[in-house]
Amino acid sequence: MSPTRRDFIKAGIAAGGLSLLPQAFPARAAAKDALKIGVILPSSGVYAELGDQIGKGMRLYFDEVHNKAGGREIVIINENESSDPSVAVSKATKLIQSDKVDLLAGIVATPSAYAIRDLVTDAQVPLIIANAGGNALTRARKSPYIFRTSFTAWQFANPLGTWTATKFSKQVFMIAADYAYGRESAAGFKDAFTAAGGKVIDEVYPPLGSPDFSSYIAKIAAAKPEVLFGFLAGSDGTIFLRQFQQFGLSRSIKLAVIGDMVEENTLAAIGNAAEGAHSSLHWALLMKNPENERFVQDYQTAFGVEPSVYSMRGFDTARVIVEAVNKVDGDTSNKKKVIEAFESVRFASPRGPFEFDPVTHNVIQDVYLREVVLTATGDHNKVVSDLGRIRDPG
Amino acid sequence: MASTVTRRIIIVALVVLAALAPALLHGYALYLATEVVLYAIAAVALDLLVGYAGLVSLGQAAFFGLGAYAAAIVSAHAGPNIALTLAAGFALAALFAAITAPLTLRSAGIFFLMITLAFAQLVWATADKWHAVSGGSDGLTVTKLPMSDTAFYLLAVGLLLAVIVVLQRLLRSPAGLALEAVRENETRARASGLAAFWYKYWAFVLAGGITGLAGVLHAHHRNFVSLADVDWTNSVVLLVMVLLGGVRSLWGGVIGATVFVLLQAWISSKTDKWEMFAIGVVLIAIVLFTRRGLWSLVTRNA
Amino acid sequence: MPTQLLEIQGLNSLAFAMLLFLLAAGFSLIYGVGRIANLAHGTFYMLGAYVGYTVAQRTGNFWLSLVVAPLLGGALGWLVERVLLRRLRGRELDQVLLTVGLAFILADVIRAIWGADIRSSSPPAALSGLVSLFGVQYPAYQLFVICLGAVVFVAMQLVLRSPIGARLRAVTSDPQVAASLGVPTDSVAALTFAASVALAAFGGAVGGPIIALAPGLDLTMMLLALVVVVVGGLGSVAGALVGAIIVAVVNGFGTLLYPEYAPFLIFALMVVVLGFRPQGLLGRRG
Repeated sequence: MSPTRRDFIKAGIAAGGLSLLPQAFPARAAAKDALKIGVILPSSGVYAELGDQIGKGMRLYFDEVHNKAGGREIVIINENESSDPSVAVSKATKLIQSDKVDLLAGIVATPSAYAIRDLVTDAQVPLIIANAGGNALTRARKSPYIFRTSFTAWQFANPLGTWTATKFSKQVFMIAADYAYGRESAAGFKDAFTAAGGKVIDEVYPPLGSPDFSSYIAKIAAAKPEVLFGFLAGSDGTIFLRQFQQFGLSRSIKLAVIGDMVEENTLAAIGNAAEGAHSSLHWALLMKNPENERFVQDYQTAFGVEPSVYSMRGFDTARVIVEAVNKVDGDTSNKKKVIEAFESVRFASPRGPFEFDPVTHNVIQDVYLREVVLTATGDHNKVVSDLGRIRDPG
Repeated sequence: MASTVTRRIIIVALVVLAALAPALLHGYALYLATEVVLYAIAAVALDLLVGYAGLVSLGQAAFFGLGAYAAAIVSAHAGPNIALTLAAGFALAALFAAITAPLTLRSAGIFFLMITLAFAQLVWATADKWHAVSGGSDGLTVTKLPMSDTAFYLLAVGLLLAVIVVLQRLLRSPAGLALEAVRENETRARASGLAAFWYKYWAFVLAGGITGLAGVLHAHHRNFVSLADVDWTNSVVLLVMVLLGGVRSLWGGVIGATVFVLLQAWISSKTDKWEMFAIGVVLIAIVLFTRRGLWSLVTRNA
Repeated sequence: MPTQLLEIQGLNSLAFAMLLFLLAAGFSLIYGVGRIANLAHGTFYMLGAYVGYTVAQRTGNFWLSLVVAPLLGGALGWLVERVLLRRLRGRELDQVLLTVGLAFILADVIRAIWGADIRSSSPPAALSGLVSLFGVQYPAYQLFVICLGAVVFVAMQLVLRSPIGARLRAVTSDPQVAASLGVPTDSVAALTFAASVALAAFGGAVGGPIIALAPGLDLTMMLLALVVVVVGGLGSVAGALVGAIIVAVVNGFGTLLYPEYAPFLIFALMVVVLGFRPQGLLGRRG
């Protein structure tokens, strides 16, 4: 007689129940004084690519310091952030309560960061954010335990707005993804742009995950702007830039966009569709400084591909952790000292000098104006000028 | 059939285990157990629809999400009061069910599946656009309840048991028997004078409201609500839970939720790249190697 | 709205409509003939897109990818039907559940093989420029998609009305009678499922240059396919075309005129159609 559903279910519950036991009584971890870092990055969904590159950047740095910080061995526990913020909460809970991590790092999506903000603050576990750029995370919703090594939407959008109006064109059409980060970028750009005398012809906000941008392109073409400001994330950016080129607009309209939209990973996908695009970001592949040249070479040797800004963000996040833990000699039990250690971290990063704003816990960094140029190895970003050392107002 | 006695034993064992859980489990394990219970509530509601009313819905995420958003919004305005949020979540979800049911129930079989999906997507689209109320893609933080994890868990278990008891009573009542008659053969039921529509209607509204309760618990459990809560893939997951567990008894929902949640947690602790693969394999294995066909329950009416 | 914008948007909607038709046709086919609601359809589409991308990249020949993708899809579809679906004949809900499991499995396999990086196919060199049409400049590849969609539609109608199509319909309406009349029901079922998956894969390979390949594509496309067949009519290929056109027009012009309500519009459309005609515009009840 073939097994009935009931038999399967009984087996399933037994297995499920048994599997819970280890969670309830976690086995003794590796070495008693290992530094456990919970890394929450998306390995599924639309941001999986970013998660992968950030993870690689982190690994590169940890390997460089032989996986030791403050005399303790570094143990990484990876969890999938997915694209659901409440899953991020679930994973963070597991890492804190079951795995008893000393630190958390990662988080690509802003909503996920908001979702776990209270959790990490109440648990007094430092969270080093590697990517999520929503302004409020280090403004209205800041926390003593949250440090951000990446950026705020404002940091990239504001200087771009000023530059565009003063050095590029006073007439712009705006397109930005309709979600918090997209809107914040657009607002940051618009404020600076109009303050510097620019005029916005029109603004459109496509919903995230649009499969087709042809109607937006039609609208842009009809308006005939000199310059297009844009921020579109992930696949949206890729589809848009392809269609922008297919409709012939890449020849007549210049692009002034937020750097993430034309970063190395996107350029790899769309070929020369974004050639000539200007963008603002805190890093460029072709930047000439000793730290960056070494970073790019080491990354290439380790992973066989060129790094993107996400790789760099991961790299710096790992360094921030190691530097801070070194400062407290590996003693992560005194939370106040740990926070102070993080606040005082300062080093030469591939992006330039790195430091935190002690008030907001957001990074203070140089933001660069870049241009997509054709090189021997394909289209890449090179730095045109330094837009200044930018500190988010908080 | 010996299975009735076996069933009773299993049920009692489950209840005892559930009650004792806080003593045995803490931290993350208790967290998982709470998760199992709240999904079980939603699965039991869907079980009512599929197994007893013969209505296979792919739109339960709407009610789940409405409950969750209600909890977030009420907490923000009136403070974190579980009684209030549960009431609000139930009311909002049941209201949506009550309003859409007259349209939805005109369809049957696969068409019903599609229209429930369509309405759920409308809720999603509204949540996406109405930033001011729902936080849009940013989501909403839910103020923490002044309740310990253990107390919350016990509350969830209590709610689950209450839901099951109430539903079982209803199903054994004349109304419940009428519902099953409608499911078995709607034409004959109508011919003997039953207002088939009204029986399906109360089942649909009740199931919607109960799913809303699960959504409220989810919002308080994660302290966050986002568009992902109204995503259509949640409706698929709930349906999978119900079908896994077996639609014949309300406990099927509990069993399906337990297996699914624990399996997913276990797999994701081992690997972050093969989660869906493993669940897919288990799903196919269960469908292929167990004998009972479920659609036969429903197609008689389609 | 100025005429040029109207023209361009009209062409945009037509191109997107054909993309949607190529996506949804296979789904309609297998539901109409085999009563199987294949919820892995979007995943097969995604597989076709990735396979098409790789073939075009490796060989430099885009047209080859349009042949390889459906062949692979068809083979996979045939295998799935013979090994898995056949055991669930008559158990429709279990079949749906099986396809859900398949979708989960295939999505992770695709990610394991191709990684999570976002990819984009380029149209073949011959079709990468602009064409002058009715006083506007329009991308050649999109025009190609429009023509291709029309060709596929006509071809499918011809097949379905041919003796082969008659066999398909015989098997659906009454397998036992069909078998007793000598129709090889097993092969017909396998071939039909294979054809529907091949169509999905073909649609993916064709759509590649217009969409982006990334994890999550399967879910986006599955939902779109469902909307299209629901509006146009479950089980009808002509319905898939009508549904695709309506959805594309509503989406395109809706985005242009009422951008704040774009995601709302197609689902509202779905509800309205289902409310008044649950079987869809061209569908048949039962």
